[in-house]
Amino acid sequence: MINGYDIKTLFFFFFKVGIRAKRAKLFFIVSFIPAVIFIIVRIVSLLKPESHYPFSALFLQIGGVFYFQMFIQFLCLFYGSSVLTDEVDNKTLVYLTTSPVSKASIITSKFMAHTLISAVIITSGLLVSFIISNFSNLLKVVYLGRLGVFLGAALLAVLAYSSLFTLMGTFMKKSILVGLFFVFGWEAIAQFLHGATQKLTIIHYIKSLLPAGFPGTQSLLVFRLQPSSTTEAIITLLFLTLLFLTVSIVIFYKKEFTLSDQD
Amino acid sequence: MPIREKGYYNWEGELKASYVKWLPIFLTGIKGVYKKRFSKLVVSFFLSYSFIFLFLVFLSSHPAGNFLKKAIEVIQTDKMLFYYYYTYESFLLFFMVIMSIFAGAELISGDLKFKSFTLYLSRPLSRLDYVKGKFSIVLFYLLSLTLGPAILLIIFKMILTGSFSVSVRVFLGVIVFPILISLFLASLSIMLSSLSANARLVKVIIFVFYVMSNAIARMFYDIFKSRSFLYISISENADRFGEFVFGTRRGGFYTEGLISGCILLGLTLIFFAILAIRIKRVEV
Amino acid sequence: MESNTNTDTVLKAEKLSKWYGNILGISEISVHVKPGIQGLLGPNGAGKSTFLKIASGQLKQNLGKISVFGEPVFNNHTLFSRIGFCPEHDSYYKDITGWEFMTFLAKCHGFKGKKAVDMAGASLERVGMTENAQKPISAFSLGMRQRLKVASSIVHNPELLILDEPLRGVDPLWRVKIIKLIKEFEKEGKTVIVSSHILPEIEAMTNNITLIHQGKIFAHGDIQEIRSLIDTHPHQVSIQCKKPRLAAKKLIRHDFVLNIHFDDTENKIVIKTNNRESFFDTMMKIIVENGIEVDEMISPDDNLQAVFDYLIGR
Repeated sequence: MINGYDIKTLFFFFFKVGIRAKRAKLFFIVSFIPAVIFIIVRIVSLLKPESHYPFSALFLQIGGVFYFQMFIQFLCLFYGSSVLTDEVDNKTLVYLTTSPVSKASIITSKFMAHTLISAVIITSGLLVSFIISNFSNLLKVVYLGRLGVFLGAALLAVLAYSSLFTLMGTFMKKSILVGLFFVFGWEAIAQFLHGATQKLTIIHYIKSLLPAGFPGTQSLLVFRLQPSSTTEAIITLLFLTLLFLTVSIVIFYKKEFTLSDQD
Repeated sequence: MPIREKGYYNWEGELKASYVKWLPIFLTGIKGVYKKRFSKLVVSFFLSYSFIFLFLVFLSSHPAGNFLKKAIEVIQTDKMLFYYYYTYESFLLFFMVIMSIFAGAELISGDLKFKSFTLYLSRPLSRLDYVKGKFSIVLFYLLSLTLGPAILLIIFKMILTGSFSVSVRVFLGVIVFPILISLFLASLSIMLSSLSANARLVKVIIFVFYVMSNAIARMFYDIFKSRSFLYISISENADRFGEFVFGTRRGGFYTEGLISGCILLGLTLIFFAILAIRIKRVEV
Repeated sequence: MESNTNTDTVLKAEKLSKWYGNILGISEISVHVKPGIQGLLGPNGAGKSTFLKIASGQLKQNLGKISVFGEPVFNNHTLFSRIGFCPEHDSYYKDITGWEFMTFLAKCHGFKGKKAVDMAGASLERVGMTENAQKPISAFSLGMRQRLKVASSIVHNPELLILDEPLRGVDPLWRVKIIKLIKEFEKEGKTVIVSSHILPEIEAMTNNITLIHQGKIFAHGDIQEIRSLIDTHPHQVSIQCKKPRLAAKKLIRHDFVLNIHFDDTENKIVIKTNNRESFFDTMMKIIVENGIEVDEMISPDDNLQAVFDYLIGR
C-alpha cells in the first residue's frame, strides 16, 4: 500500500512546489515577528540602559504565546487542510490518482512535505527569536536544553495539528472556518475548564511539554491546571498524528472527488 | 432569395441607463453568500449573541429576572446596554471577523481564480462599480447582523419599558459604531481578497491579521507597559471607540477613543487605496 | 491478470449508471471496447466525461460494473501503469516547468533516474513541447497546456489511452498532428478511447463511434452501419452532371427512389432513397449505359452530424 520510492518522489516534488510558493515566503516573514520585537526591545534597552527587560521571561511570554498559541495553529491549518484541498481546488488530483501510486502514499507524502515546510518556517523563527532573547545565556547548557524542549514541542505540535487539519481537509470542503472554530473557539474555552475536558484539546498536551518557567521568572501557563506527564503528552501527540493520518487515508479511499467548478 | 421571415423584430422601446450600475453585483452576491453551505449556521451564531441581550432586556423589565441582577444592573442605562452589546469581550467583533471571512474572502479571489474580470468589465461597468458592488455585499451582511439587531433592541426596550425616548448620543452611537467597524472589516476582507486567487489563504490571512494585531499589541504592552501600543490592536481600538461613542468612560473628553476611531478610519482608507491599486492593475 | 490478445475486450462496462445527487450522469451504459480507436461523441453534458472518469477510476459508479483489462478500476492504483488519462480540465501545478512536471509523472509511474528523464523527453517530443519545456507551466498558452496534458497521458507508454476532449484549445496545425499521433497509437496496438463534442474531430480519427446523449448510448458501432440502420430517414445523394434530367428520368422508375429535387443553376439533382446499396448499383449502370458525365457525387447526410441529428430527433 505504501511504496518507499513513490513516497520519496511525491515528497520531494511537493516540498519543492510548496517551498517555492509565494505564501511560504509570506509565512516566513510572519514567523520572524517575535524576533523583530526582541530586536526592538534590545535596541531600546541599549538606548535606555536604566530600563531592564527580563529577556528570558519575555521569550516565554511573547515567543511562547506567539508560536504555541497562534502561529503553529494558523500555519498547520493552512498547510494541513491544503494537503488534499489544494489538489481538488486546482483539479490536479487527477494526475496523482491516475498514476500507479496508492492513495495512502499520496496522502502520506503530501502530509510529510507540508509538515516539513511548516516545521522549517516555525523552527527558523523560533530559533532566531530564542537566540536574540537569550543571547547572553546561549552557552549555558540549561538554556540550550530549553531550546531543545521548545523545538521538540513545536515539532510535535506541527505533527499533531497538521494531521488533524489534513483530516478536516480530506473530510470537508470548508475546513478553514471549522479549523478556526476548533482552535480559537473550543481549544480557547477548554483551557479554562477543569478536569479531563482539557485533554480533549491538542494544546493541553503541547503545554504539558513546555517548561513552567525559568527559575525566578513568571509562568506562561497560568491557565494550565492539570498538566499531563511528558511521556503521556508525547505518546498522545504521536498517537493522534497517526490516528488522524490513518483516518484521512481511509476517507480518501472511500470518497470520490468530482473536481467540478462548484463549491 | 427574399427573406420571408426575419426572425427578429425592432424594439420600439427606450433604453434607460441603470442609475445604480453595481446593483446586480450586489444582489447576486447577497444571494450567493446566503446559498453557501454554512451560511445559516454562521448567521445563527451571530444572532444568538443578539438574543442573549434581548433576553437580558426582557429580564430587566421582569420581576423574575432578579437572579441575573448583576448582569441586568450593568445594562440598566441605554449607553451601557449598547456599549456592552457591541464590545463585551469582543464577542461581536469576533463574529464580525468570521462573517467578513465567510462573506468576503472569496468575492474577488474567486474572480481572480476563474478569470471572471472580463465578464464584469466587458459590460458598461467601471472598475469602481465592480468594487462598490463587491464591497456592499460584505457591508450588507455585517450591518444587517449588527445594526439590525441593535435597532430591534432599541425598539424592544422601548416597548418593554414603556419609554419612547432615547438619548441622541446613544442613538447616534448605535448607528455610527457598527458602520465604522463594518467599513473597516469589509475593506480589510475585500482588500485581502483582491491580493490572492487562493480563497483559503485569504481566509487565514484575515483571521491572522485580526489575531496578530491583538497579540502584538499585548506583547508590546507587556514589555513597555505603555497604553500607546494598544492602538495596534483592532479589538482595543474598537473597545475605546465604543467608550468614546457611548460616553461610558468618566472624566471628560476621551481622546484615546477618538484616536482609535481615527486609526480605524485611516486604516480603512489605506485598505481602499491598496484595493484600488490592485483592481486597476488586474489584466482583463 | 488475463492475457490480452488483439481481440480481447480491453474495457467492459455493464449497465453503468451514475448520478450526482438528483442529477443523472449516465444511465445503463454497456460498452465493450476492443483494441483500436473508440470515439465517444455527444453534446456537452451528455455524460461522456462521467463515463470516462468512471473508466479511469476517478469516480465510482452507483450501479453496474466496469472492468479494464479484466480488473475493477476504482482504488486499483496498480492498473494505472497500463492506463493513460488526459483530463478534460485545464489544470496544472503552478511554479514548475513543463519538464519538471513530466519528469515527476514519469517517476510516479515507476521510472527511475535517466529512464524517467528519457521517458519525459520522449513524450514531450511527441507533442512538440521540447522547446518550451523549460518554461513555467503558468506561462504556457492554453494550447500548449493541452499538449502537455496529452504528453502526461503517454509518458509511461500505456496500453489504454483515455483522452477526454484532447483537442480543446489546440491550434489547427497541432490538431492534425495530434490526430495523427492518436492513429499512430492505434497502429502500435494500443487502445484509445477519445471523447469529443466536435464531430469532424471524431470523424477524422475513427469510424468506430459511440453516440451518447442525456446519459444514454444512442448508437454504437461503425458510422456507415449506424447510418444504414436508420430506415426512417432516407439517404440523400447529390449528383452534379451534364445530363441531370436524363439521369433523373432513368432513376424515377425505381421504387427505392423516393424523391428527386432539381437544382438547375448547378446542374445538380438531389435524390432521396431508402436503399443505398440498390441505388448506387443502379446509378452506376445508368451512368455507363447512357454515357452521362458526372462531375460530382456526394452523400450530404452520410456523416456523423446527420447520423447524430437523426438519432436525437432534431
